[in-house]
Amino acid sequence: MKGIPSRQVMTVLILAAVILGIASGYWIFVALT
Amino acid sequence: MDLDLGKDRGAGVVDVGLYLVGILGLAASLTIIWLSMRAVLDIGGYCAEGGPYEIAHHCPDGVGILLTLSIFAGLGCAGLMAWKGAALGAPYDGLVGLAWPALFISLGFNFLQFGFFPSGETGIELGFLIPGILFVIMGAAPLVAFLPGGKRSSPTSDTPLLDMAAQTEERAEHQRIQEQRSHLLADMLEEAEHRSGANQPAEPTAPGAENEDLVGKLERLSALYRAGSLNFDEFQRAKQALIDEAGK
Repeated sequence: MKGIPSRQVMTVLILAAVILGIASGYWIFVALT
Repeated sequence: MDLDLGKDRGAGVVDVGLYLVGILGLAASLTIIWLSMRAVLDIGGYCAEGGPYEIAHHCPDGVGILLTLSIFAGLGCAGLMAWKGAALGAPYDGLVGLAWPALFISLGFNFLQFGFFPSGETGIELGFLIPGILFVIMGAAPLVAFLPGGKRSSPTSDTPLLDMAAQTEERAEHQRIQEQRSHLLADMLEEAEHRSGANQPAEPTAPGAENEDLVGKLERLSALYRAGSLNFDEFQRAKQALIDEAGK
């Protein structure tokens, strides 16, 4: 399947990736220190 | 308005997925760097491990290796985001630049907080305050140029940074198509006029050859119309000019 999602969907996906990234970064830090 | 500019370049789901992985990894790395810095600031702002000397301030457990790894991971993820962002097209390729203000403003906040409220001490710690101010300036200066309120951004938009990049590319593309279109139309009309003026029978041509010539031109014209270089009106006018010319 070619093509990328619409601007609105991409905005949601990017925000979700940022929030998930912050959460996983926090989790990794807490787990390893 | 949707502008899926990446479609033309063949960007697919894999590119979108890797782009999001880059964003996720970059956000995670920045978070770990931020938390590691706070852990070090909490014990006075410096620490050490290993080496032949007696260590006064040991680093918090795991922070040294975690901080080092997260810096390299962050650089790798920023590279992935820039690479796949370029494949996706205009609004997405510039977003990796936001990592700069995110890094410097967040670390600057740490410096300022521990500068104003040093752990275990009272008063203000200038050694943290000055880098804090410098970091915030370094992070905020490029960001201010992109904030809404600038004369290039749309006041009704909720994503000014994305829109600005998209509009610039859209304008350039629109202008290029318009120029190409007017050149083609002018050439065709000029040729048609030239032919009709010079078509007073100087030397008679074979009717079969003339028909083939007309069919070839109509096919080329139709291809231009299908490719989007001509709109319907322009296509009709040019077609009529060719038919009129052939009828003389």
